[in-house]
Amino acid sequence: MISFILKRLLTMLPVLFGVSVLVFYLMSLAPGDFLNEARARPDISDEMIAQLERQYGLVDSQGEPTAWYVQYAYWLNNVSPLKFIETVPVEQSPEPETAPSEETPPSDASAQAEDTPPTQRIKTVFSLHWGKPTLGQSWAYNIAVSDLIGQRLLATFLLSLCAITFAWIIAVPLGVLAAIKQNSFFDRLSSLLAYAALSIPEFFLAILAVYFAAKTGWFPTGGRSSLSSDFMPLIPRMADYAYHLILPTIVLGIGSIAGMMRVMRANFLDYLRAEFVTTARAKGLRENVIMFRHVLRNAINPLLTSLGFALAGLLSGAILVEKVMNYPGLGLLIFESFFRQDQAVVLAAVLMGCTMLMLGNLVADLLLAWSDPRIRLDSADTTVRKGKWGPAGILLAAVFIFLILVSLIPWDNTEQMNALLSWVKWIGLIGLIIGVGIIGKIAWPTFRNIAAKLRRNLIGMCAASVLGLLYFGALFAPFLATHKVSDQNLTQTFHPPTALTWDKGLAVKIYENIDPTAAQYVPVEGESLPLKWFAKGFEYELFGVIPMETHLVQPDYAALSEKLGQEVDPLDYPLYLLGSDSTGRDIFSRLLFGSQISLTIGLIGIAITMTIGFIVGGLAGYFGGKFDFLAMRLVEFLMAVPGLYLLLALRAALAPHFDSAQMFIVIIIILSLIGWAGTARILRGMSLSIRNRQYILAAESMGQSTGKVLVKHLLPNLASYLLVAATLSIPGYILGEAALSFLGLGIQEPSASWGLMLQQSQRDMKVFYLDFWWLLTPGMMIFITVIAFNVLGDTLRDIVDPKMKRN
Amino acid sequence: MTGLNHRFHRLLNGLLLSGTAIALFACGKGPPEIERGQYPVPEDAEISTTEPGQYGGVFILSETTEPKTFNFLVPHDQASSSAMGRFLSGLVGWDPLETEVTPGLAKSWDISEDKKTYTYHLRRGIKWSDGEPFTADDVIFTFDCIFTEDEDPATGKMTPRYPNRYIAQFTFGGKRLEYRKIDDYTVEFVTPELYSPFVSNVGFVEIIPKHKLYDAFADGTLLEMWSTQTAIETPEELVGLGPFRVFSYSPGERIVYAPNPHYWRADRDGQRLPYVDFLVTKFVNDSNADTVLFSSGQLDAAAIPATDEAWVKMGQEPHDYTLYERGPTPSALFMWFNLKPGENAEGIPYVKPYKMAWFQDKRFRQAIMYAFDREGIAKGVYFGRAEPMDSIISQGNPKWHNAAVKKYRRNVSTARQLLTEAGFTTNAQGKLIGPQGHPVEIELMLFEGSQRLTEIATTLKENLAELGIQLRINYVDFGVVIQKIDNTFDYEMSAIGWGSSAGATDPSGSKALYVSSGIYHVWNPKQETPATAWEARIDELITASEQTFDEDERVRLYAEVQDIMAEELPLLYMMTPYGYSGIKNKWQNVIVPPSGSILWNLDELWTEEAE
Repeated sequence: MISFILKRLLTMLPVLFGVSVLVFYLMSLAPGDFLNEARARPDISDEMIAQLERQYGLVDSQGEPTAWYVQYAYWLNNVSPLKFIETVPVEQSPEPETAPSEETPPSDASAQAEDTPPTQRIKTVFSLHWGKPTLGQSWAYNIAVSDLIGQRLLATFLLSLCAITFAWIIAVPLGVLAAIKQNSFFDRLSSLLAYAALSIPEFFLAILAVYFAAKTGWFPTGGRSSLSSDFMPLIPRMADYAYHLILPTIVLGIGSIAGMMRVMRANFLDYLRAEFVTTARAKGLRENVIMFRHVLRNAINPLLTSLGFALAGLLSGAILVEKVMNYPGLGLLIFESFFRQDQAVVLAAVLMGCTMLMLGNLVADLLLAWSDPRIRLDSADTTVRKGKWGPAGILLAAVFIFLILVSLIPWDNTEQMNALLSWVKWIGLIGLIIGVGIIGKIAWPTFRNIAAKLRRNLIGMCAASVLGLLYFGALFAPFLATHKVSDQNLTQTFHPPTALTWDKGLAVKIYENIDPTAAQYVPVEGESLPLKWFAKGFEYELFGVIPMETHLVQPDYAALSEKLGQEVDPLDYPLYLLGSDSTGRDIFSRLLFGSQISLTIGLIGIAITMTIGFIVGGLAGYFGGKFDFLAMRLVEFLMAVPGLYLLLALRAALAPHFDSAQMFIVIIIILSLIGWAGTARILRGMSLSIRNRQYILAAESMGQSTGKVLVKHLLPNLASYLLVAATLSIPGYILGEAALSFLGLGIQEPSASWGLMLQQSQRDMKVFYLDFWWLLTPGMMIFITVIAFNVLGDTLRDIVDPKMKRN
Repeated sequence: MTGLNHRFHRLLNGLLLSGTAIALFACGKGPPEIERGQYPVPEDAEISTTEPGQYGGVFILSETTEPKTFNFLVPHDQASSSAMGRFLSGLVGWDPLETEVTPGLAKSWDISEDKKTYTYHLRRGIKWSDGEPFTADDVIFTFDCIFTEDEDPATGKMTPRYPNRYIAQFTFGGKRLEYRKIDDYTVEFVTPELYSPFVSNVGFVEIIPKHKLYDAFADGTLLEMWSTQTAIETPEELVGLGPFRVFSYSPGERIVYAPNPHYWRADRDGQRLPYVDFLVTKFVNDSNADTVLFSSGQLDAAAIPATDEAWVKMGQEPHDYTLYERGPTPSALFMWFNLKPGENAEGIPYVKPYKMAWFQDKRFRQAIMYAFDREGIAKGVYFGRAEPMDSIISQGNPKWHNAAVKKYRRNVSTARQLLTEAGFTTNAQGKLIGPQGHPVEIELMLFEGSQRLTEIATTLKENLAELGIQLRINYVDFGVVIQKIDNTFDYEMSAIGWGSSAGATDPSGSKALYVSSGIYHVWNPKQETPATAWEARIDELITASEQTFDEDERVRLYAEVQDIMAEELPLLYMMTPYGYSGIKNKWQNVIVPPSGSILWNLDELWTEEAE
């Protein structure tokens, strides 16, 4: 036991080292440095910038920018107790320590004009010695990083702890209750609510909570303590903190409540049918004793594991909720530091997050072992397939080639970059189609089987039809849309949805702006704007190729001018099926065009992660041995970086090298890079269990080649799992895009995506206070899509894995 | 199962009980009594002209960003300056009513015959917030901190011991400001060249206490003093001469200030200002939260953006506050074309030569402005609470604004005519073709963050599409924008907002924008010699204005600068939104100035409803 813990703790060191190198490297890819802000200020002179550059070690004594690995070495030296760099004073030695680079043009920043290399009084030498580890200084705040983080740590810790406790207190009893009263009204209601809670974006919930607090005045709208708490004695002050924690706790807790409750319920049901329950009942034990002493004790195991993971999140902070609810936690500090490029703070935060994550996993394993003695900590699985390809070598080669390709990317040349991207796009598209084709061909029987079963499932069919409708809308967006995506009408901003009416044919009401200072529109009695079906409107290309002008519905201005007996200006009589936004653009059309981005990000992202996940995870499980070891260490390494930090680091590194129109690609890359590791781990487990089945062994002993076994036997059997996993993880991508856009890091104008549209309405308090509710429809669309995917995924899982079936 | 239900009930009861307890505690006690101390008001104290009020009350404000430091030598931002301004004072102040420089720590000043020597007479008998006397030594010490130099071991050159932004501000024609102590209450400054804005500029330097900071100054650790950690752990160390002292600082939440018992202003009844017991600055993450807090009665005062006035005014009755319309704001928001000629180290021109030819043509720039539907934006986006900006010194700065500048209003036919004159043609697809046969496509580089800017930019895109110009909007990170407009110059068009802190009192604060050698001459910065005749003329006018001490003459000179800028249009002006200030009705002595913060006389505000 102790040796196990020690071993795990020791393996953390190389991971921490690797993660810090990775993050440092990613941050170095972002253009500029911490002094960006200072450079932008009119009152800070160039000389001062140059001096600060030297002070922060951004340039060396020659005035040349310091390479990232040199900066990293200094940082590492600071942070480790075993120092390897020492600065020693030297007498006016003529030898400069760093080799002078050949004939570099004198940089205008540094003040040295002489030809002789500057003599230094300080030089750095390599020498091992012990010293006090320090996390360094925050450049932005000019204080030690440990102090800065210390300022925020308690607040973050308290909030996370409350959220976890809250989730446990609510989720476990509710889950148990739902299981005991299976199929009752309460069960149905609670599972419905759980779906809803799982599908609502956290930041959307936070906004609604703030709005609720502001309107009712029952809760504070934000912050950690009230204004007068400084003057309170201890106990009321604590109570005041608690009062401020209520809303953030609920918002943060609700998502995990839903998840935990569902797990709890499913497990409880599983064990309720276990034989020992029957035995206990036969022995005449009281129902209460059976439920709480036997079933609950067993059913709670998976939740204990999740407790470990929850511990990991304790100190990472919740950026989105902190931002909306104005809670002074670590999340916001780290977010800002990333974009200010305040290196020391970012690295300290990443290290802390990493350590917590790994400690959390360790605690989870220990808890599991403690609660379930059947689980052994050191499990050794020894089957190793001897493939013909030398799988481990191939994996290494693949990673190597990937790194070389990445290093060849022309980061700073926009034109080459664009050319490269268009190539990647085409190759990617072709690859995707081929990939889908192969999988489709192999797994066709499985899918057909599943589809047949799905047809008999009412709820599943409903979800599938909703999704079908949404994707139909995305596909035919320009045909269905009434306006172009960017058509503005500055005379009709914040127009409410034009109500449909019947006036010798379908028509919409005409509105009048009675208060231009607050955009208050009222319908004009007795007037209406007739609509025309399949009418001509703006030109577009359906599917990007077929030129068309016909739209499903268009306003009929000819009929209107006939009716009014005068020429009409179309701008005065708009058609807004779902209202208009701050520059008078049509929300309905933008939702349609936005769905093209929001809905495809999930599909493309999942296609990429599933492919990588299958190749790495599936093969690792199948081959075992070195390949497995290497692949799983890689996966664990990626999973050891807290997802949000990795996301921010990747965003900071990648985004500046792309046009904002290419942001779509950046988001897919980021989300896929982060997402594949988890998928790989799950698929490894599945293939591990499949590989020892009789038919695989039979195929192998009949001498089928490894490739054939993989394609003919392993893949089809994983296909159904892939399908379920894919369906259940698509919402993650949709929410990921929304969250990125909410933080201002995602899709940009003039493109439209649901996340972007939601962010724009959320930033505008007018939307709430002047009740421009139609601007929140993107949130509703996200919600509907996510819930549909979740329901469909669950239904598919029930079909694929009858053991998990609810009834 | 009954057992379970029972437990549930107990749990629920427990929750409800603690909930009530919390609610009771939360609205229980107010702030404690504040100890003001009975210090006699010194003879030289300034006597307020407003009606005397009574002590008490808590004034609550909010800020969107936290101070980064309390040390004025460390590079800092607006939030840090405003925090420092609460507990520190400068030699002179600014009166927004009369728009003139007022006495601060200096009760009066003389300017010599040759207009180069300034003698400041300090108030006698006033004390720092810890009770130590304030003398000329403190002023000299402050300027020593700014200017002291050491030899750089690497280069052997003299470099500032504490590099800071004031050095450049007080260096005139390569020579530094000279200063010396005449006696304990008199200091003398000599500007090497004529420089009329000096009288007001000297007020930007907050005087710091020698008795607290001299040791750190001497041993080189001055920049580490007075950090945020100081304010958290030992706020009493932050000794100043301002109206307040730092009472406590909770990072991420708030700063609480208490009155400085030794402040140098008092009222007619001999009561020391300020009247409020506590000033609380609460930190919120975005300006929306700020507006929401004010509209729900949780803040005493706030600046309300033009786009939010429509709903904030609905809270005037229930929450007992008043919104004051302040007219056009002095801030400036503009776009520009990159006019930097030349090429980078690899021989690639900053801007493609044929595009540069368009941008350099004044008629092209004017055509863009004629196409730009800024009135539509004012009406649709701002609900009528804004107007197109006409001059670099906006309508919100009436003293310096030139109302007679050339104005551009949407007129597509004028725009087309100008383009035709400049040799542009339209092809069959409706695309605009440049004189050299290239279709007109422009990339506008923006940094993400401002909703208003996005709305304005997308409108411009639509407006230009009407002329057949394709505008591509490219959002990049802030760091990239700065790098491109500062160093690599490889962009076509960008936009920026110009703050008003320095320019509000005197347009010379924006000198770096006007003069061709300035680093904020964004369209073509740091020129060695002026690229065009009109830029040369602006340089002349700015120099002339610095050497003129006649205010009317200076206004006239700046009016000509504005005329040139409006005709030549190096900057494409965007919007001037109206400003709104809200303050609770319980505060007395509120005087709304024509421009600037409504809280300029915070030390004179008082209330009868002291909690």
